[in-house]
Amino acid sequence: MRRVSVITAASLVAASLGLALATEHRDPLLYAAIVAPANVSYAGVVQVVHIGSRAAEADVYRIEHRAPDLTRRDYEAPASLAGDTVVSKGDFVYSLDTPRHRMVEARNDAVNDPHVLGSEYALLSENYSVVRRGDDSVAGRHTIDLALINKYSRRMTMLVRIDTTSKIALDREEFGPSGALVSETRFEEIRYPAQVTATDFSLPKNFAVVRDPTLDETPEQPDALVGSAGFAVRVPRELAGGFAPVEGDFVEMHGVRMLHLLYSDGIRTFSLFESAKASKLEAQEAQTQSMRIGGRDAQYIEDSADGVLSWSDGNVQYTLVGEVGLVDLPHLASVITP
Amino acid sequence: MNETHPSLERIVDYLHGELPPAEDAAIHAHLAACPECDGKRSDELAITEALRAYASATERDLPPGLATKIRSTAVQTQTGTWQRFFEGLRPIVMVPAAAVVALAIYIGYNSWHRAAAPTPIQAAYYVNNHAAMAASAPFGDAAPPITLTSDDATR
Repeated sequence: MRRVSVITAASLVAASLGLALATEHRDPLLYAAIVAPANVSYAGVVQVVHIGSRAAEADVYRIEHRAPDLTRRDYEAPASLAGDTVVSKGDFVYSLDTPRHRMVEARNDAVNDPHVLGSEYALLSENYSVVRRGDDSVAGRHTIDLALINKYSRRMTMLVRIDTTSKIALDREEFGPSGALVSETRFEEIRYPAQVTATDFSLPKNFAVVRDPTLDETPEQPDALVGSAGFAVRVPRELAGGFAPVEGDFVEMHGVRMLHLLYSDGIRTFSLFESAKASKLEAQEAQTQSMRIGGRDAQYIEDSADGVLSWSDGNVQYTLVGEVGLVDLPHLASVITP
Repeated sequence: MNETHPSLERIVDYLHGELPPAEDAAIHAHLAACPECDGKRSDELAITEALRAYASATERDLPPGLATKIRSTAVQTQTGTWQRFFEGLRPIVMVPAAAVVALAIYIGYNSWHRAAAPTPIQAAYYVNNHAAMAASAPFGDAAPPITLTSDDATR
């Protein structure tokens, strides 16, 4: 997957405010927590829970991380993922499909690039204020709790519990506009071994490698990315709540080529897909709901904790994806195509 | 996940089981996810089977010496342009030609029809792409394991 900073917000915010300004106003503990994985090695068990309006889902995985950029996750639950392993090595990530003796190689979007982290921190500090909320204990470690308050809604969007010694974020809770808990990522166990060996991240030699065909492609400039879409794409920049486009790439599915833009306000994210070819949403276990967006027919599906909304303005097919309860997809859709 | 389309030659090689295991797996996964390429595979299969069926239906044993006689007659006979044109309209030439034209129209119509209809896309595909890219956000969730679209039904 090509990882291209299409834009913007992160860069624009960083540029307009100046990274130096962001540095002056940064909360030292919060920033230390964001960059800690680049400096601290650890091993443990992580539980992730996402709570949708109709269903909730949970993942449990063992994690080993060797700073700065080697990470191995072995999934234990749910049953559909149990036994799967994901190994991140710098710019690449490998999903090991043991039953089929193959691994899928893709580009690692979560790589700890200091420039990207700095830009995204600038965006976060533009939209959120940081308030200390006392201390706590997670997985037997003493933590300091920070509340991230959205400057537009004045509500707490995230509560993060940070290990006072290592600065690793041991627990993150996300809250919707109503104050309801939407998701939590929590270390159930954590230890900081003196040595995490590189062999823990070795890949099986007898697995067939299925490569992402675009792995070797050179990232394009942002303007070229938008200009090479082949149709009139829309990159909305004036969205409520401080959301701004931060990354983008092209993806293709079933012969439909799409521009994929990621929007972020520093914590919350949503994706906007645009294509010139008409498509319709399907789901194996969820019902498609019909709704109207700006007088146009739209389809909506909740895939566990994520909502997917798709509609067409007659020329371009738009699809929005975001976590249920965190982002208001119909409202965003009505702003994108009024 | 991004995909590029395999060439027609690779699809034909895949049909004949002539690819190494890794490439065979990759093209198998791609065909399952790409109606356009899967359509090409179906077309190739249809053409192969149509030709095989036609050859089987019209198969005859040539009388001994007939091939030699035809060859020598062809060398001796010098035909004009118009004569060759009218000979081309004989049923033995026109029937197979009409069959090929009908097949081409059928395949062309199907391709056009496929392109015109909205393409069904699983919501999970959008969700997975979103999760992969959102993993880079501060405190973003780790992206889940990447699964090939052809495996969706088995997971």
